[in-house]
Amino acid sequence: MGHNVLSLMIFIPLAGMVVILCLPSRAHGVIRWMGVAATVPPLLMSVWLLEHFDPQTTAPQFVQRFAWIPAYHINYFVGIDGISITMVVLTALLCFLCMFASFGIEKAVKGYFALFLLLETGMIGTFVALDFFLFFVFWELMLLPMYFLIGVWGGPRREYAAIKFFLYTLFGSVLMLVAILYFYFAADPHSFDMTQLGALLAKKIPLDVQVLLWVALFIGFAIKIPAFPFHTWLPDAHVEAPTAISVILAGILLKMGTYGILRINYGILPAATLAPFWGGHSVAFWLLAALGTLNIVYGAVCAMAQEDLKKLVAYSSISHMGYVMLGMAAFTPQGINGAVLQMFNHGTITAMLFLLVGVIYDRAHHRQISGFGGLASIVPVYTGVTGFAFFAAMGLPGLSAFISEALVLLGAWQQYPGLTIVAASAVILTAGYLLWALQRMYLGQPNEKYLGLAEINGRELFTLVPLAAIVLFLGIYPTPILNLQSPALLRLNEQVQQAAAPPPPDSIAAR
Amino acid sequence: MDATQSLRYFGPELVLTAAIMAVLALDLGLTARGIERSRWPGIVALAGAAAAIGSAVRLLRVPAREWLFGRMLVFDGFSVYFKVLLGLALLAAVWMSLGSREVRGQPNEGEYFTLLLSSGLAMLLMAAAANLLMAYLSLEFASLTSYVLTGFLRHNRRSAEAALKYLIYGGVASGAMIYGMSWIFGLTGSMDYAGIAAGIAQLDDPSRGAFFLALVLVLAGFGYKVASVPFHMWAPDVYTGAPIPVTAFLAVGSKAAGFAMLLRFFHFGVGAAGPVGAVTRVPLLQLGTLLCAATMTLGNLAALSQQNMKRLLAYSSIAHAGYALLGFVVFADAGVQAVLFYLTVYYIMNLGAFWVVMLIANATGHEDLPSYRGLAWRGGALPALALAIFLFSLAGLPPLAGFVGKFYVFGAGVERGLIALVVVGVLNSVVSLYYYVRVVKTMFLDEPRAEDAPVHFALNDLAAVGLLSAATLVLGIRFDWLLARVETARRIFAG
Amino acid sequence: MTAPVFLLLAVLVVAAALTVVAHPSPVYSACALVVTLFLLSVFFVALDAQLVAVLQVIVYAGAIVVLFLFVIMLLNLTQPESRPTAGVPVVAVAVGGGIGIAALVAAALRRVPPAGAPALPEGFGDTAALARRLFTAYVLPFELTSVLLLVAIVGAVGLASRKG
Repeated sequence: MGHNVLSLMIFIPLAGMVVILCLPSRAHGVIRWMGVAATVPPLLMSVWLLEHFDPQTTAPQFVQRFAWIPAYHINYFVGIDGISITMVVLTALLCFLCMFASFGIEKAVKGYFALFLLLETGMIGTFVALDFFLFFVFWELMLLPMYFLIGVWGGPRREYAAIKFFLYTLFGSVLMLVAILYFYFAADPHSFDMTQLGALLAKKIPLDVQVLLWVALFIGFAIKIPAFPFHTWLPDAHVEAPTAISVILAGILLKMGTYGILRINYGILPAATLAPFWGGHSVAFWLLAALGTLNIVYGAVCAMAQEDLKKLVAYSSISHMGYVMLGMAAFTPQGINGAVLQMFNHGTITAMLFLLVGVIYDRAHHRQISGFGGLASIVPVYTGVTGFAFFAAMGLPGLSAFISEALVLLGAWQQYPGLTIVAASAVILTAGYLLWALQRMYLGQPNEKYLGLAEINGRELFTLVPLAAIVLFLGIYPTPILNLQSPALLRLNEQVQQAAAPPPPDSIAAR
Repeated sequence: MDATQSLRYFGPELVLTAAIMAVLALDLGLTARGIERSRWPGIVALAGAAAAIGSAVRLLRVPAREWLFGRMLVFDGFSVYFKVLLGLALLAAVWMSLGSREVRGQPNEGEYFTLLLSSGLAMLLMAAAANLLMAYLSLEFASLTSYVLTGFLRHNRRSAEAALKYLIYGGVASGAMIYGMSWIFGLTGSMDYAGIAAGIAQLDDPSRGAFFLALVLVLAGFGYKVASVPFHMWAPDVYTGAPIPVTAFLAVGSKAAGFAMLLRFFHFGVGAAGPVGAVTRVPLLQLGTLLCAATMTLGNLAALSQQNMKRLLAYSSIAHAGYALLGFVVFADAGVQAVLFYLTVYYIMNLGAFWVVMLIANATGHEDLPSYRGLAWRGGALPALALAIFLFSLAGLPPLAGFVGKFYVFGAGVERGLIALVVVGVLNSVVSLYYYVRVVKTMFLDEPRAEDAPVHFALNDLAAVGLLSAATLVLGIRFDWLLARVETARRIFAG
Repeated sequence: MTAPVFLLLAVLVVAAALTVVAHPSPVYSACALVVTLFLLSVFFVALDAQLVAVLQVIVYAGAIVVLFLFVIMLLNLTQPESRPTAGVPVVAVAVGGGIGIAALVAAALRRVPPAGAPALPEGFGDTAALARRLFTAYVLPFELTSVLLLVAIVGAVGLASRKG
């Protein structure tokens, strides 16, 4: 495979979609297994990629590139590096697992699985695209299936949630479109090449315009992360979406925001990243570190107030994504490594959480925390897995999130001690809302209504166990994944700092 | 070039004129034999439109750039491109009419097709006119036929009201335009665009001020044709009242012809003597920017609350005129190219949308949004899917053709440095998504209720829609060939 | 034509045109239209376009307006039509707008230097010269107008016919 493995990963799900569309709509079983079958090759290929990826090379690997629209210098250009490899693996894995989590879908099965596969194409494409036009196409390609998946198969307020998600994300991406066009025409020669644009544009654009573009791009990505105050679509979308789609939303789509900032804001506008912004501090300080810390605290506080378990998990995502923002704004090796590791870890842990919420919702048809109680004695296995996921989300040592959050806080401490103290104290809030929920739902007097609640079944366990294994493994031994991503991230880190170097920015000098 | 020589480059118009006469004669013959309803006028019209396209396509390969008929018309790649596009619009309108329940039920189909073909002929002339006389004459010709076509549903009050409104607005706009034209003639002493361009160069400062006022007046006529704010008020009523094929033809063909005229007038008649602003020393760029921003914004905002599909698409087409105007405001070849590209893409997706609306109106008898409820779940999955594709394309989502069109127009704007206008444009496409999605939501997300009867669509009725949706998808991914086409067509003949 | 004569004619023609629009009785409107068209033909005469002036009188004032009057009588519209009268604000805005536009036009044209009238070619305005121009330089618009008129008739018949 070699040079076209990434294209195969992108387009095999699309081919699967076409096959599914040709199947008779009543053949539910065939359609479901066809959906699974289409997600297996990307998963296997992602494992193959892990095997053959050379971590020491910071340039993109497995590159495939040919002219697409020569008149406009648009190329079909894909490749992965240390920034994207973990995301690609995460996408392939979660899509595969979510196919199983979607077996409970009964309405318009054909449409659901077809759209799901289209979504996978869009997600993998976004992470591997290195041409800005191609990136944008894949980025937007995800919106359509997502809209329908939430809107048709979602909960009671699905229409509202779906359109809100759609409009918010589109709003962000059109600003990105303006920036893309600006880059294209400012670069000489005109180019959409994400790997070259940074060099082509250096010193071509005045710094204040760069900052403006940085902010325009940031708004697009911040909506996706979602960073406060652009987060309001998230609780609605996550709560109304069907389980598997919530998993995809929280596990993958949110990462696209931070991935985009790393790849595009850092990669193309390094000078603007550390440019002075306001009050003597840099752009990165205000928009990433400060907003990230706010995200951590705000998400945790909101989570604490939730009655609906799914909403609680949704707000916890906002909180956890704050660590990613804080870490990547620190521009220290630990910070940026921790941030990207946190992206992966949050992907696995939050996927577990949403899957577990789905399990209980399928049985009880509601998610009110106070509506349950003493589940531990009724469904001990389910409770065990839930406990594991909750502790993972809390960042308990020995589980993966601990490593990444610790790295983030360590890295951030060197730059922003004040913010780091706030962020670190928020861990208490996190523990608070998770433990409180655990106590209310699983401990105490069993609710008589649910005495006959069925235990978690084999299919559901099958979706959870691989994730749990990864969480545990990375909690004990994170080195393999750090090795994969570290060289590329350190280089990116250096690039940004070099671009900002003369004159030395006082904004990041230790306060 | 004199009249006889010019005929070689006049193929599409001649073919259409012959087709008009043929349809008219055929209709007379049928009436004489007492045959009231016949498919034949429509079929002859279809053949005529197809032959005109064939003739125009042959001209695509002719590299000549000439004056025709003295200095009345111009033959260049730009006009031929528009002739092909307008021919296709005409063909589609005839094809739609053949399948439209509104049109087929009427007794005077022969007159209908005669008028439709003449409307097409007038638009072809609009695309080539490079003389104030021809510009005015062809525009009036197109308007006159449009009024009658709009009022064609004689027993429908809405149709008659729409025709009357159209007539009154059209009269005011063309009155303003011809007044402006008389000034231009008076100031420059010339009717053909080359003479006007030469005359502008001689103008002193006070005359330039007067000339600007004349331009504004002329702009009213063009703005009316492309349905740009503030000359757009007729569009919603006319689009709602006219039979759907006519609406589609007005939305696609009339607009394209209006843009052809607008671009030629400002790039050749006014702009040929130098950059427009420098020649006239007037705030034309600012005026254009204002019109463009207002057209996009008002069109989209008004569309938000519409319940009738034709009305919604009417406001949406006003908004799209705004996007295309962005290419006009660029006042450079890149902008012309973007407009050409945009209009082509717009042709495909907007026509497709109207076509589906017509099929649904044929099946349900309604055009209002509630009658679309749960359409996908009661037998209309394919038309619903096609309409969704067209609407998402109109909203400008990749990988659909509409995205490429907007990308291209906005790109031309950014290249010119009109960042603020482009930002207004992209924000408008977010607004537009809301009302397009509302339709999609009604079709897919809403459950059909008991009173919503199942609908049935014959596969061969869907053929054209399938073709157009395939084109929307393909053009979103492979558009380099069209780029190459518009690249050669963008150079407007300039004397 | 001297400026005072032009001004007088201009005021008269505008007044007549306004009467066409504003008069409640269709018969009066039609008569005012005759006056307007007559006055216009005076302009044509003053511009050495005698044939056009004659055609203006014969075709418009003679044939078309007579047809109008005929239709009005046929439909027995002699009684003033009761129509909703525009309120004072609307009229005020319309009049104000009209004056404003006139002022704008005057301001724009005030400083435009008058172009010297070019010498007229031999035989300008006579039938032979007009016909020659019509069938050479202006043959396309001329032919197009004939198609336009044909289509206009078809359209009128299509709208008015009662078949079906």
